[in-house]
Amino acid sequence: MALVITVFKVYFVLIVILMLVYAVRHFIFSYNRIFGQQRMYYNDIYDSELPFVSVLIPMHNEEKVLQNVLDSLLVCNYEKDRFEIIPINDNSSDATAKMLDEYKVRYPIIRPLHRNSGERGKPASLNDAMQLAKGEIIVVFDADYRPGKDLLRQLALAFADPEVGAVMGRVVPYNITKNWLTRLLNLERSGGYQADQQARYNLKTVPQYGGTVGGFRKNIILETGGFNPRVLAEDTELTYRLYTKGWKVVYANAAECYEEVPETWDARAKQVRRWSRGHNSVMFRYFLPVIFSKHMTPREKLDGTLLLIVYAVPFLFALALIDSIILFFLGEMNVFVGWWALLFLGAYNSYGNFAPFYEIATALMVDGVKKDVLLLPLITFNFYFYLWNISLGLLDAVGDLVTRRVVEWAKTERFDDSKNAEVAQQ
Amino acid sequence: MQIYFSRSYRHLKPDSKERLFLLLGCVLPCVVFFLFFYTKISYLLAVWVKEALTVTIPESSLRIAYAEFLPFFGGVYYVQIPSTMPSFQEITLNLAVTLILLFICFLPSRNSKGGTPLFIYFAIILLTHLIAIIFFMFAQDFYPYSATHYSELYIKQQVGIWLSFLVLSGLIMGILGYGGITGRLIAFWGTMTYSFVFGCVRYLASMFIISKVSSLYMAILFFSLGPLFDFLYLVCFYSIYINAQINRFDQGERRLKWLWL
Repeated sequence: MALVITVFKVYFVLIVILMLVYAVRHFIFSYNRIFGQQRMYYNDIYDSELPFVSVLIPMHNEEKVLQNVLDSLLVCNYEKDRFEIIPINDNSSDATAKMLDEYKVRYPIIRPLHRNSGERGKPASLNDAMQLAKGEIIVVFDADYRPGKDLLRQLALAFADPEVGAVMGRVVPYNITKNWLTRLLNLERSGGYQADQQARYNLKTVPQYGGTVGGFRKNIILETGGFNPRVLAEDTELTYRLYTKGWKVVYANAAECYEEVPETWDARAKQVRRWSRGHNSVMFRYFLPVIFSKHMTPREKLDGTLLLIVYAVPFLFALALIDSIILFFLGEMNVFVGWWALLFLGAYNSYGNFAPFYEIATALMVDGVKKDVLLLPLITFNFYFYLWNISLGLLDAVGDLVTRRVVEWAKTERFDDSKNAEVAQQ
Repeated sequence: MQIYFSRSYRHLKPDSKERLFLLLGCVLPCVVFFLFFYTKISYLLAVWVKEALTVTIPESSLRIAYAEFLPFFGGVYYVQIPSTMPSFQEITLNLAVTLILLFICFLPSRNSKGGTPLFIYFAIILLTHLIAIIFFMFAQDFYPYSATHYSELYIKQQVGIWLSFLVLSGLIMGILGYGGITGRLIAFWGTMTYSFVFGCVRYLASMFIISKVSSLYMAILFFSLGPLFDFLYLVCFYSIYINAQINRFDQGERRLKWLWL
């Protein structure tokens, strides 16, 4: 019994230390973003010969939103003979196919790919579309996104640098005013991009390719076997594949693109659980390759490892909570009770893309977002929401690893309506 | 001339003098003061709680005791109070109410559009209470804490929270803070004052419930009204401060403090 109690105590201490490591990491990010010299993107480059870009847009039943992304791309300022748009109709059962064909008739630049059978999901769709794509540079958008006029040009510029394997732009929600959830998600997005991603870019650690509003070199992916259809987080997988092979990912903070965030907790729960499942399956594959990579700097390895395990942390924290409840009922909390607060201090600050309150506040300060910052205390309750759903995602990933079952893609529910469109245009 | 990067790359120049003043002149002395005086503070708190509890509990059964805490800095004082074990009826009633509330929490969370995080929060608290109920139902004699033990645990936890918050608020206001020193000091002292008052009132309320109602509520009080609840007001104060700074740095001379490259 004494041994078991010792194990519980040691685990408790280790998790407190881990949480503090994350708290310090995000504190450094926050400081760097608000007071550090910012590392500029390639905005000063004016390249008269921009690369040919293939824009891929995976779609599954996207009739509600596909017009927005296509119409936005059609009016972008990238030379029309230097890019193509390949919307990928992935087994849609609504009017997506018909609408895409209508666009194809009106705009030759749009070349839809209809997938009516075979493996479903974003990675498989991208693999098929890359075979069709004429461009060496692939830019990916989700169907609910609304790229700005200058976005393609900004993303493509990065590939003039031969070290760059992928580029990531900033995602900004457009349906912020819909309800409390969308407002809170706007805070999280702000913290995750304006502060977290930019700081990682500044500090030359590991900015993450996010799977949309970003681009990559097609040949790197094709030469390494394409995207793995079994991996839900093909974006995280790409980030680590690039870094472990000596490529860099750059972050373009000024390259803003507007997205629809989930408007119901149910949709958000499914989204977060899917992210966690995908991210953790990447963790199982890349944990050792990152540590032993010959191409990554010690700084990249350290931050890359912390980023890699970030979706496992809520589950580890949940175990620590259970651990502390057991210690409490065994009468063993006396030693730790003074430091109980530290567990929350770290945990509250460490949930992946969901930046801690001081990092979100830093981002909102830079963005100049008034009033909504007063909603920050409400993220306290999201803490348990993420704890639960991210932990379920980790258990899904463990199940996938053990049973080798086929992972099915599930897309996030769309909510688009005309009111949102008005907000986005303002 | 066009300004391309209205928000993408702007940042502020660190204000080294204010930062040094805040960290060395305010936060550090506060932390040192607290470390050397928390024993005294806990004594004053224990005296106050003991006096307040005499309204409902006979003074003869209340005492102030001392327990070791941090090496080098001394122990803490706390109030010894009589324990009240829950009756079978109370346990059964709690079991029924907890199960009903848990059912309510899980029922709407399936399709809730508004309150899912709150339901999960309450479900975790209720599950903790359920464990306590089962413990008292089947192994009451083995329950490891008396009300006095709990009082000691509470004070140690509270000292840990105050110390953590002094450091955290100090670092946030001192290092991550911007704007005038007055605003930062107000936010820092506001947070710590509220934390102190809240901690004292919570101690009194917890001791009253544990002693007058029963020990059954120890776990739920410890795990639900603990550090996470403290974070709520910490972030409240911080968000008010940041909102004020966002407004200030958006107008007048402060606007000129932004660096764009």
